[in-house]
Amino acid sequence: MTETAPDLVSAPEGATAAPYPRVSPIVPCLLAWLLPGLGHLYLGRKGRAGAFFLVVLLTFGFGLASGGTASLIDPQQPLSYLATFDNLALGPLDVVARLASVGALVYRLPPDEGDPGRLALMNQLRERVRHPTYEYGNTFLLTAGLMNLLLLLDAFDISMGRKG
Amino acid sequence: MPSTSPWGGRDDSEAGVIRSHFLNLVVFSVLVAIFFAFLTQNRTADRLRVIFVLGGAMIVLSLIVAYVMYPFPLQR
Repeated sequence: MTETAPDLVSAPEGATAAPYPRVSPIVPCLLAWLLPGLGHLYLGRKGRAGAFFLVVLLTFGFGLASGGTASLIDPQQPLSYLATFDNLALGPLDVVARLASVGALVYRLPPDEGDPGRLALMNQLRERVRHPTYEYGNTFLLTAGLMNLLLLLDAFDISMGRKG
Repeated sequence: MPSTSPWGGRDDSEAGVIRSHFLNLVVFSVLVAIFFAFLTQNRTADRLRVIFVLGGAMIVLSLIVAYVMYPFPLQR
């Protein structure tokens, strides 16, 4: 996609492409990570900010209510790195998800299979897998993380003057 | 199993949980469609169009895939 694509990156009427960032992208990106939509609110996109806040929070809420679990890094499962990174994209909401699903701020399974901590965590995860809507919950949680990641990138593009 | 969460965790009452596969599909599709509508479009009419087209496509295509998979056995 180039900057000439009118549908996705068109500038607002009267706006010109800024040769330098109009605002530092760090602040809106950080705000977007802290709370879904907050970066857009900071950039003056109130309507979008409200919509994003509601949609991401609803997706996150459905995920938790459906038995979704925050991912833990397991060196034996490389994809778990991606899933955990995706969860972390939710910012402080990831803390909520971990406290509600795992019961502690744990991000990594102990690598030693005989480790009592690993066994306790694995038993806890097995209990959660029995939840009938566990897979749905995980899908909703991961999708909420991806949404917030896209919002972060969108806030970056807006602050750099690439998008209206 | 008693919860170890400092917030008391969730019990197994499953209040608010959607068990229907189709309803989960619809809720998921609508949320994703609304998200991308606001992310990619600026005008309300365009956003509504994206919500209907994207949300509808996700639901219909999922049902088609499910129908195609129907003859496959659940267990070998």
